[in-house]
Amino acid sequence: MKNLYLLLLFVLAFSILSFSQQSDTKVESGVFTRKSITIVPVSTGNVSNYSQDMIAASYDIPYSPRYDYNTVDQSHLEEMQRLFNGITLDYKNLNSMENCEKLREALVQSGVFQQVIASMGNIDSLNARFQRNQKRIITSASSQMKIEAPTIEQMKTLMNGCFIGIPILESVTPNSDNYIAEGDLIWIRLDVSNVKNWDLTTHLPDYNEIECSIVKTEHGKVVVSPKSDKTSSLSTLFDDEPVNEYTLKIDSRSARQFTRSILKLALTMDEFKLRGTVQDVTDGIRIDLGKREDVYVDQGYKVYELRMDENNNKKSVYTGFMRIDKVGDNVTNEDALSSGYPILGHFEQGFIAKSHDQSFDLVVTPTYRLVSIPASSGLVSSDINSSPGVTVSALYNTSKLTNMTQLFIGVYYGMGFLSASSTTDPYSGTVTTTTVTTQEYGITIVKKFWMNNLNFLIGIESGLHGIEINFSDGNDYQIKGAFGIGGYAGIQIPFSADLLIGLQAGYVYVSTPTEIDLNGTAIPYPGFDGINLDGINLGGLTFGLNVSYSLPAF
Amino acid sequence: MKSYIMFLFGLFFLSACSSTKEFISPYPVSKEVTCIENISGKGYKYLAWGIGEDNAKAEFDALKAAVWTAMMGGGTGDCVSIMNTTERENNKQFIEDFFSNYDEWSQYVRSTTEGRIDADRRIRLADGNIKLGVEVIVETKMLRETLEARGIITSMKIQ
Repeated sequence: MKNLYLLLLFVLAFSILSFSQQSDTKVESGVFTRKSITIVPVSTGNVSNYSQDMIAASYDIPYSPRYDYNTVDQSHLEEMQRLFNGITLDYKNLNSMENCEKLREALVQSGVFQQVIASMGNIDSLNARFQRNQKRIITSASSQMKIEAPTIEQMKTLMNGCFIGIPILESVTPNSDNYIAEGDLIWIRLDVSNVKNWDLTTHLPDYNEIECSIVKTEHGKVVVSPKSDKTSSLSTLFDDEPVNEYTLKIDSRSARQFTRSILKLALTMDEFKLRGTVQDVTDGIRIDLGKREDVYVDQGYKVYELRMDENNNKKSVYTGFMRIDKVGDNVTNEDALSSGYPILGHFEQGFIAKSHDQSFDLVVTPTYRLVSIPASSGLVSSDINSSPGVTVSALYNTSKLTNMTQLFIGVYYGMGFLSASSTTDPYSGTVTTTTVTTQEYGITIVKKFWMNNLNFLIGIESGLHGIEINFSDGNDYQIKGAFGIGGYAGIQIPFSADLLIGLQAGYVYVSTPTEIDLNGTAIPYPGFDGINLDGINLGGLTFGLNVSYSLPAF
Repeated sequence: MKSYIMFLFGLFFLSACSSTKEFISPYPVSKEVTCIENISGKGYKYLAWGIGEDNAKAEFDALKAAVWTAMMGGGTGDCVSIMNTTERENNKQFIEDFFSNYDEWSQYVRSTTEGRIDADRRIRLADGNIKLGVEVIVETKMLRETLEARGIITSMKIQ
């Protein structure tokens, strides 16, 4: 237990230190530029038979209004695959210039590159993308004359927001009931800043002058389960696999899911993060991003203030963290703002907001529970009335599904460590020392409310409870069949965008256990003279610390 | 000696308590203005930077800086100033009075941002002040006609 508190102290100190280190950072811009993306999937020779699956998946990706898409014909993607078979990448230095040049050459020769440029550089497409990029109605000479076209610089900025994602499938292997698709993920950025020759009729840049750079690489791996009835399972909520693919062979599905994983990598990239400006702090915090940028309820935003020192050097200072509670519909009203609520720090109009996507919350709760395991049960030498322990939960924020803020559903697993005692093994009759632990697991639903930088939470939980008793003579007893239901409430203080620490208390009712396993084998109960389960109560009042850490989006 | 010290102390106390009227310059603190474009021959659109204790004061300063630049020049870009060097020299008192009166200068300028702040255009300076960039339109045609009517500048019209 002492070690646990030391660990908590370490986490607390680390979080405070990391928050303070975030105070001085590079210059964060609040200018959001739309990004256009193209998925060009390829596979290495040993798994090239999945090429068609990958191409099919590249056309069936979960579309987001946050991006524009430059679609490439299937024939060009097939040619790219053929050319890719002839090149050898340096997989140890995936982001090397040599790899970039090799991929660029294949992209050009296959015609993919030209088609991407034609798609993104098309003037109608640029105009439309420019309109979607606008934050507010611009009053200018051109707008008065009803001309709302981007300038050359704005066109270049939009074109520089062009990214090509290349998922490279390298293996598809069975593993138990699952299939694992593995490979590398590469994002390439196109840069037209130094292009001097532009076609006078098509207004497109000379593609030979377009520069490329690899901006992000990662080794990717997806595990696909063989469930054919996934439509009815809870996992459908959490993955983005199209329902129409459930009937495909599992290895094909894994290759397709691997292709789509390139978009998950995009979520972690700084280049793809949403950026906006805090426009109002009088009634909630309002930022100039919305539905058009795929803002969602509970999306986190780190907020920075732009500062200038005596030497005119600019720097961004991290001032706070907020979440969205209402998404503005800037598709129909360009001026609509999204509103948010503060989690940490302070906010002023003009501060810069940068998206900080999170996925699951991991919660560690060291607890103290009032339980009752009497000596008359035959399992312990003296009455046990309390149980220190720890519960670990994984919580999923349902806001994307329910549009409600801070409503979590998750699973938990807890262990209680009871004081070891010597007693008589009911089976062997020998006096031995014992290790007694309580165990519980189940599901929980939590709702959090934020008020003045404090987080109040209420939750309900339901699950199965049991006791494991290990006698030193080698006999292990498991007391099972106890069903519990309870509720809890707590308060948390944010220490960073991802870390909350607080206190919680609750009560759980647990029915009397009804089953006994001895060394993994069920033994009849009632009927086993040495053990009496009637007086055992694994429920009761519970108090504890609550340490919650939000994992980054993946 | 004691009375002398008491006298000095009293003098110090009185000087400390006396109110000094702070001199407030009628001119904009910032004169960092960039001309963006001509608006249909009626005015100019500027990116004007203002400095103030808070956003509102900085925006106020930016609006004033834009009018200042439209009248006196000094900004960057291709916009032409209304007054030439001689006119500026000959009308120093008018210029001071003009910029001292909010109702006077503010009628020729409006912000295009409608209360919003564009990305990366709010900077906190080392002294704690806010530097704010605002896109504004100065009605230079109307301002020119007013100054001509008051005899501050000579008419550009060919008689």
